[in-house]
Parts: sequence; structure tokens; C-alpha cells
Amino acid sequence: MKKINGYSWREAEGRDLDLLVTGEDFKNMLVGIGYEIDETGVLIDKDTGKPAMAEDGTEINLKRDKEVVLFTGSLKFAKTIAGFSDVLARRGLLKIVEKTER
Amino acid sequence: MQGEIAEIAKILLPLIPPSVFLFRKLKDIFTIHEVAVIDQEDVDTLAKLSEAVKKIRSDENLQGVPDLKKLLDDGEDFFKNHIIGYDNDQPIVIPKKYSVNKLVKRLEISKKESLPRKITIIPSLEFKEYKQKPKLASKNEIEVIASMYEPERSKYVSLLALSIHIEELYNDGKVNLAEKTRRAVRERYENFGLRFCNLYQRGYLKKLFSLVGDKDAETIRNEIDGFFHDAKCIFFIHKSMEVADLEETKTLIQIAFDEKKDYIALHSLGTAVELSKYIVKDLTAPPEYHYEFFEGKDPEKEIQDFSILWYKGARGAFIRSLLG
Repeated sequence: MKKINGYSWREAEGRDLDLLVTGEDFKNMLVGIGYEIDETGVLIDKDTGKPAMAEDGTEINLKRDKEVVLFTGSLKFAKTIAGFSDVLARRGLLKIVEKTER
Repeated sequence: MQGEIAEIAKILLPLIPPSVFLFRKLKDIFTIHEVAVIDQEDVDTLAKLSEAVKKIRSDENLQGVPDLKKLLDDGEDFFKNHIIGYDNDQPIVIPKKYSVNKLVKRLEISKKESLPRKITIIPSLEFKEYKQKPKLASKNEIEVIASMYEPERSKYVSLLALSIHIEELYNDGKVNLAEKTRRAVRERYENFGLRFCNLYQRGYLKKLFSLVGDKDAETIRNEIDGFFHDAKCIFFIHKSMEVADLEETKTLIQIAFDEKKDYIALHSLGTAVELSKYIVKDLTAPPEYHYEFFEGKDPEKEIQDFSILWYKGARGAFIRSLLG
């Protein structure tokens, strides 16, 4: 029999979590933390009234950008897997290891 | 049609037992805990279930099969009420009642107090796999990257990782995902990024890195800068190119001949081969160029490969040697 374990949410605090959140859930989350989405799909920071910027300095449009990543610590966004890769590289989180020749 | 439905059902119905087993276990866990730890086999089940749900939802005939309708309903219910994630490299499942509200609350605290948080919201498991799976590179490739200074180093690390990832996707037959990743590279890093990937996959960069990897940092940087300068006349033809793009490439090759560039090349794979032939059919290189062409099936990728090279002088011969 497979045993599945678990723990409390409090025990998860401070851990390195990657959570798959998409579609309406993602939009609701962004609204919950202080963003709004205008009629054209642009993500706006409610505090400043200005568009939220991705790590490459460009606006985020949730109607066009279907693969947005949110790094919550710095509230940094990436719009594609390449942008995600760039942030990981800058944080030293990309694993490139030496391949062993057979 | 009946036969086709039966064939699809044969593929989807075996998902039911592992899915039901997983749902029952999670239900038991959530009576005690807020976060459930699962294993990779369960993640694979959920990934297949997600694809099955999309398939059944899109086809009313499949929904007419009672067991498939139940699989659809149970699957949709699961994904509506749970979040899949990873705690470091350990797969987890969180009921949304615990995750979205609490997460939002914590993020709000984060935004006000700028506390370091380690939660990353990702749009698909492809992103987690990209982050988690080590990219295998040669010792010299790693040494070349290590010789660079920031911010260039991070960019090259990212491009190397993306190039290796794209190559793996092609080798695994995941062509659509590979091409989507290439488009993302182009969007993020513009032409330089796409060129990096193309030059890596063709073998130019792999060979160059192997030759310079053990040299001092300044020599490495000079060699790489020099190569990328000369590589501007290496053209990669893609099946999505339109007539205007092909005509532009033809013009650029002619200009390269006129300016007596040391190395000019055209590479293409698969259905792009015919586009390459269109470009070169009226081109005539000046007599001082060595000329080579290759047409055949790439033994590893098992698709048509068509390349033409024109080169002269020591520099041209050197770049040619990078192709092996």
C-alpha cells in the first residue's frame, strides 16, 4: 500500500514552494495581493496605478501572456520560460552540471 | 466513429484505478493535514488525468461513455479544488481552501513588509521540470561560462540551459514544446538568443567551447565575441519563414559575398529544406570561396538536413572546422 504523508500549512512556511496556479485562480490571487486587470488585460499595480512590469521591463498582459510566473519574495514577474530561466540564472538556481562521458 | 471512441477509451480508462486510489488517499490525508505529500508516480497520474480531462471535455462522444464521463467529472472536481506544487523537489497537493486564501494573506504581508518568501507561482509543471532537472553540459562549456563576468554570465548560463533544454525536447520528439521554447527565447533575448540556440544545436558553439574552455578568461571572451561577430553570416532557415524573410536572407547572403565575408552558411531541417533550396537557386558565389553542401537525413534526428557553406581564408576554414 502506498503511504502518503502530509503536514500543516504552518510547517510549510519559509520553504521553497513552487505552486501550479493558473487561469482564474491566478487572476484572483493577483487581485488579492493588490493588482487589478484592466479591460485590455494589462496588469496594474493598484498602489501606484501603473502597469506591473515583468523582469525584462515590459508590461504584462494576461490576455496575451499565458505563461506568467510570479516570484513572490520580490514580487517579480516573468512572462515566458525564457524569462523564468533568466531570473533563475541571476539567482544561481539553474542547475548546469558536467555530463560524464560513457 | 464507434471504433475510434473505443480506441480512445482503451487509452483513457486505465487511468481510473490510479486516479480513484489517489483521490481516496488524499481525502484521508486531508482529514489530518493541510498539505499532502505525494510521489512522482502520482504527479504522472495527475498529468495524464489533466490531459484526459481536456480530451474528454472536447468530445461529446467520449462523454457518452459513462466511465469516461465520471473520469471527467472527478478530474474536473479535483483540479477545481486542489493545487499541485513542489516543496523543494517533493511533490505536494494543497486543497484550495487552505492554499489560495492563506497564500494571498501571506503575500499581502510580504508586499507590505518585503519579507523574503520562497513561493513561486508557475503556469505549468514544465516550468518546475525546467528548474529541477539538471542540464548536462561539457566541462569546457561550464568553464567558458564561469570565465564571464556579470551581467553577461547570467545571460549565457540561461541561454546555455535553454539550448540544452530545447535540444532535449527535440530529441524526445516534443517538437511543439521545443518550438514554443524557441519563440520564448526569441521574445526574451531577441535575435542574439535565437542565434545562440541555433548555433549551439548545429554544433558550432559546442566545438568552440571545447577549443577555448581551458584558456584564460580574456582569451575566452575574445574568442566568443569574435565568433559571434563572424557568425552573423550563418543563416538558419525555419519552416515558419515567409517569402519576404527568404528574399531578405537571399539579399543578406549576396551582401556577404560582396563584402567578402570569410564564412557564410545556410542551415535547414525538415520542411525548411525546400525553403533553403529556393534561396540558393539563383545565388552565385565569387570564385575565391570554397563551397560545400550537405543534403541527407540527420542520423540522430531522422529528418532531412540541408546545409550549404561558403568559406575562404584561415578564419573561414576555422569556423568551418567547428562543424566537424
